[in-house]
Amino acid sequence: MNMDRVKNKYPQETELNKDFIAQNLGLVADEERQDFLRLSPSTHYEKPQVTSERKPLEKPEDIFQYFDGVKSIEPDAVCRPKGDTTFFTSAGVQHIETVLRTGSDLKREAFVVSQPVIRSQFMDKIKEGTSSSFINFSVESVDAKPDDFIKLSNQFIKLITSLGVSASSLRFQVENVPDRWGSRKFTKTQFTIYAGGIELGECVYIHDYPVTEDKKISIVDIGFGIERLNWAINATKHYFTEFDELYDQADADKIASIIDPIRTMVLIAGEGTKPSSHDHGYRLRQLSKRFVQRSIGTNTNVAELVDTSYEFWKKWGYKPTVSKEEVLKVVSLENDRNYNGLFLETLGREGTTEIYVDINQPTQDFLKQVGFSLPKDKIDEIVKKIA
Amino acid sequence: MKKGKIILGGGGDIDISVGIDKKYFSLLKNNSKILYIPIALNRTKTGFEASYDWFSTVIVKHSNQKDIDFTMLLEDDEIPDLKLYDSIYMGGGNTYKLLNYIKKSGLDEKIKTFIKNGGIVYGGSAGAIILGKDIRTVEEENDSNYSYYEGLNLLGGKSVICHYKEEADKNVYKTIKKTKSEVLALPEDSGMILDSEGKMEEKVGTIYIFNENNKSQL
Repeated sequence: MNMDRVKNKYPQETELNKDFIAQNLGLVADEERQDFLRLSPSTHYEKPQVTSERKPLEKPEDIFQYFDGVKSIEPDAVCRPKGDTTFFTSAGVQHIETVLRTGSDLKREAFVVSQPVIRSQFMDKIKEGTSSSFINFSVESVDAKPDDFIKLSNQFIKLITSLGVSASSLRFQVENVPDRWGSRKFTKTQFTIYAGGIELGECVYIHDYPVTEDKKISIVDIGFGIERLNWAINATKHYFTEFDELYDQADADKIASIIDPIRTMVLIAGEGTKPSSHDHGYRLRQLSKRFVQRSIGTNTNVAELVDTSYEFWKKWGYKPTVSKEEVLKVVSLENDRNYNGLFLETLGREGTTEIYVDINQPTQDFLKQVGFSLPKDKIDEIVKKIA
Repeated sequence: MKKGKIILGGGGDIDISVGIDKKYFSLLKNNSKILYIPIALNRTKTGFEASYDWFSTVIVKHSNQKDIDFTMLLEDDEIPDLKLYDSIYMGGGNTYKLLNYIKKSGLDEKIKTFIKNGGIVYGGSAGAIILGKDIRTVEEENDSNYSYYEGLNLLGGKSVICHYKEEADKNVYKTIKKTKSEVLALPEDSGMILDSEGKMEEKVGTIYIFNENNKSQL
């Protein structure tokens, strides 16, 4: 079957429906769950699938080959300028916002991008498989037609199955959902792919993205998290596979919750952001607080976490503007500041009258300064209490 | 024991609600932790990222030198132990969607206990309306046949309408017949602070109270 030829031609300016997608991608109803679809055996797996070997995706080039002919572009910066929809790039599709911001025209073209992204909303929900930052590998097609959507979705399915995932284990869900980026409102035809109940990625067709008040454009947006895909299909041992050695020290969720804030801090600090009470800097501060609270009592080597994170992001296309050493300095000092803050908070809860001391200094110097106001055994007691 | 507080915001964006927001943040101590509930909004999961940024901006604008942090609660999340928070902030959107979530998740009773134990609850727009007796003051928002309409009734038996403008008077009188309660009408730049018993302590801007026959300024 030629998957690239679209049955029942659909006009570009209308939203797609479940039947259209099922028919053109060779999907049939899943007998076990009514709201799900699966790949039709007759079109997708005539022969039994070999599933023993699962290959992880290790670099952008591993994926580019599946989208032959689609040009690859440099990722956007992680910290977005004021006025954009979000403070941080949260998906590869936001490159379209960059194009519009710079006053360029949106013309018919397709591109792939290995985009580091931040999803702050997950900062307090970290466990193995969920992170506040990841590589969002995205395939975008602007002024796209329904057959572009079918073609690219099909290429994504091929990518997943070629990694060793059995075609018969994949499930699909199609929904039409309203969405908005800032003040721009539109409708998405969203086609989500699952394996073993875990979401692997999304293929989206937007038929009515409003470029201006009287101009709408269609967009195909295919996106998936690299760490999640590798982990979900068991191609890697752990979600943060570059930290495999650390996972031996405690349960996976606990380790993930310690690694995550540093990984995300590296992305923000790597673009020169300093902790502060403003937009990007405030997020850096929030992440550091979570790291301090979660890592107390553990033997976490911050320098190692920063080093591994920095190299991981770079490998996937991230372009830091400051050195690893500078990032480590920023991260360490902020962690110390938040530990110092926690010390004072604990002291306050213990009923000690406020003491005046600067928290913006390395913890060692901070505790020395506290020593002018408190006896050593009281300081030790508080340190112990925090731990 | 410290007494809880209820803050009602009339709605509107950061620059409009500045007066009541300022009062709210002045009640929070250093290192306070807020549980932010934007569930009234209709957003996809990625869409809530902008809500996270929006609330960061509110905090940064008003916290001055205070170190204030927050956690965002979304529909699929496990409800955290409210003892870990100093305040709960419920933002605007669809009032019926929010109330439906609050009732089904059992958060309504937890919020009442939270206030009794000294917690500060901020309700802006939809978040304010659900704290009243009856949310049928905004019946036109019930676009999904939600069945809950009885609010948390923490405002001394009164219901609430936000984004109030004089043109809405006729409609407010109509809703009184349904809700069988007095209605507090808050324009966007107004707000009020109430004690844990629902008695007003302070207000910002002009707030009206409607009964069956009259409208008067609070």
